[in-house]
Amino acid sequence: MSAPPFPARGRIAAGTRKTLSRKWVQRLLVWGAIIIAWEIFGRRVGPFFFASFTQTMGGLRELVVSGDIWVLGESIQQMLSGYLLAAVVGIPVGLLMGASRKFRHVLEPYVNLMFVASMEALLPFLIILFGVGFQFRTMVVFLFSVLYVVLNTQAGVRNIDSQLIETARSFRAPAWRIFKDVMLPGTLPYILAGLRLALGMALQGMIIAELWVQTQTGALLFGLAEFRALDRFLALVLVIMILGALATEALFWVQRKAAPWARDLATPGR
Amino acid sequence: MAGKSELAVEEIDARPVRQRASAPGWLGGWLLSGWGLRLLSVVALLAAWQWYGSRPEVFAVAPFTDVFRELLEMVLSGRILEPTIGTLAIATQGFLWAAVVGIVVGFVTGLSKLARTTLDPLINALYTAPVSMLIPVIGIWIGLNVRGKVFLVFLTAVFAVIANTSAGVREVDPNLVETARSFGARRWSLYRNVILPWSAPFILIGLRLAVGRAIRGAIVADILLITDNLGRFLLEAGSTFNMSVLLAGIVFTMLLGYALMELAKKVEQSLMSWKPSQYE
Amino acid sequence: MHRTDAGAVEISNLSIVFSQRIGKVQQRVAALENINLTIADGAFVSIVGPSGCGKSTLLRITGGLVAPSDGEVRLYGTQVLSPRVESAMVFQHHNLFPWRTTLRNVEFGLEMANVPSAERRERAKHYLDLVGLTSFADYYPHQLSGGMQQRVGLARALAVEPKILLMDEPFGALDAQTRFLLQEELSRIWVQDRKTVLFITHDIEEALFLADRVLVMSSRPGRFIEDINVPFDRPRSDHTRGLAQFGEMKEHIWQLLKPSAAGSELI
Repeated sequence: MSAPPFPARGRIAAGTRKTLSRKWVQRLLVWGAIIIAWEIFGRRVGPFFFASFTQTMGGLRELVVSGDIWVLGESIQQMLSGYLLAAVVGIPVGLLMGASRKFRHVLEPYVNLMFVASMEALLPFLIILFGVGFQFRTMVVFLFSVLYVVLNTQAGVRNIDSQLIETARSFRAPAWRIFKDVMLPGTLPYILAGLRLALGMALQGMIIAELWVQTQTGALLFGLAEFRALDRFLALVLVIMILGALATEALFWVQRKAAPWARDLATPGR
Repeated sequence: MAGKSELAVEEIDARPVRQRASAPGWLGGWLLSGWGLRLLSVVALLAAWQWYGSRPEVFAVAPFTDVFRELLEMVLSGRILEPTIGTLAIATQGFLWAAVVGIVVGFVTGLSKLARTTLDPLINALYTAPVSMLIPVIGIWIGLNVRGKVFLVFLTAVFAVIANTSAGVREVDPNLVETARSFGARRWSLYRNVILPWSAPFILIGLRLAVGRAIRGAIVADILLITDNLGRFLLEAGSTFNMSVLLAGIVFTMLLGYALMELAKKVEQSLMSWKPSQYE
Repeated sequence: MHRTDAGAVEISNLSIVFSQRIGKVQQRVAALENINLTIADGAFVSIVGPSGCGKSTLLRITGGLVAPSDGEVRLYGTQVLSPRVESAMVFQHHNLFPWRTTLRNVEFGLEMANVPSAERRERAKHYLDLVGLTSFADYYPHQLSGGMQQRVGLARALAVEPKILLMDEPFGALDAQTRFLLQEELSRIWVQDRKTVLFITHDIEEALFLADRVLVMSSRPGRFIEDINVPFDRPRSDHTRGLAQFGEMKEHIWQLLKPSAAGSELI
């Protein structure tokens, strides 16, 4: 299914270019002001408590030169395995829960309970079950993120207009085509929204798990704080934040590209 | 308007009787529908837990009956009371700070177009950022004490309030604003009579999400920042491999979070009884 | 099973009972009671009635989407047990698939019928052209106006080249001007190939303007209370609407419907 041209939107884009550039001028000004304030604040309180913007940039260079930053890459690789597991498990479960009343009745109480309950309480138990290695961190990431995928997918299936299903039936669509041509496309934007929210949770799970067992990025964060290398610490925090924001933005983009018809979604959670 | 539902039969209930009549007898029907299935699944789950936990070679999972007895004991004896209050106190303080700061900042970013274009990306980035990565420096900035924990809870919860408040403020129906203007409402009366009531449901959603985040943040603080309260309760049981106490503590903590979220939901619904619920 | 002397649509002794919850009481409501109707091949028949009289249900039974409690429907002699190839539906809320472009929406029925893709595209383009939307082929439904959306819905049904078109208040949600335009357009399209049409509406004027035969339905239980032949020449136009006889027939049907309409307002 190639992306069809989008005449209406193309026309708008030309007209809004001017306001778009003004938006970025405003952003640069305000962000610049924030960075200057940060610089002044950092110099005032001194490197023992904080790091100014320039110091943080210096810290970033040190992180890159020393190669310490690549620990983050390893952490993210491990996070992605838990996140992918959450997608692989969460999407089918969400589809089933949305489509089958029986399935939903059985799973709903557990999913809701786990969704609002404090997953963090499970950490001491998970560590006994899985040790401190790869399995433990994958499981934490998985448990933190999977319910967002499940609940959003389920909401997507349940939000499908029953009239559309009836329409497909009136054109003699067999069950599998109703699934493929109505249920899946109708749920897609919700699945993508779920994956986007889940990514933030996965990152959260990754950090908590690694701080808890003090490995990789978690160990680096602790080490830098202990030696009061706050320039490098803040640089690392900034990199994690920007990566998270970029990944979320990228998934937003995918959502808009893959489902241009779905503009506003009520997504559960966050 | 009781008759409205009576009017359009075909829209309400399009399942003809013939299809319904094929359901099994009422007991069988009940067991296979809704609550019956739920009950069966809970029983099956507990039975599996009991069977697995009772096997001699399994040490990581205590049988359900032991965990349940332990749970009853810790609640009835009041042993869990003190840690619970400790954790909740931290969560409450952090939540209150997040509520106040979040609503104010949310209003500012929602009402000002400049703030919206420039600060929104930053707030969104902070909303998705894992704030627990600051744990190693909270001791340096605030101190390894209750204030540090409250700060962590605040950071965990505040962005949910900001994002939802500002979304509510900016989504005020322009027709309503226009209507109010045509009746002479200006500045403050406009805020009080249109913008605040309109954004109230959004603010309440933000606050409800913040309740959940505050509890999770308090537990993280009690486990990772300085071990205390419920965190210490769990960690002590875990480090001595007292599995029935550990599992009972986990079940208690998770149920506590669930109960508080349900409470927040109820409060939200009762405050918003004029508005039909439109989420979840 | 297949009888050649049969009408295009034959509805015999059809009843439908809903169980409905009013407050805490489950009630059985007879929505349609003992309906009999034969529609000749190539006829344009309208059913007009107050909302809630069961006319939409009757159409959905004919389309094979709902099973009747009693009685049966036959299309060209074959009993309807599920949606049949002979018929295609146009719905009140356009019911276009929001993720498909206009052209791909029109192709939907052909895809379900496993028509090869090249032929599918050709046919969809042809019918899109018939409703005047060729230049909107790549738009998504939400980018179209209400009138355009209904045209696409019509093209989607026409594209499967059904013998019978089942239309469920397709213009009910449109504004008056657009409704007039679409009525004339449907009339024009119908004159070209004279399909059998069963058209449901609550708009008396619409029924008279479009159909050769208007069936007036009462509510609670839904029954036909009159079967009226519409004599106006085709092609029909604004001139038709202005005829004295048109006005008289309109008034006559309104008098028939008034008791049920007032009743349903009062409930």
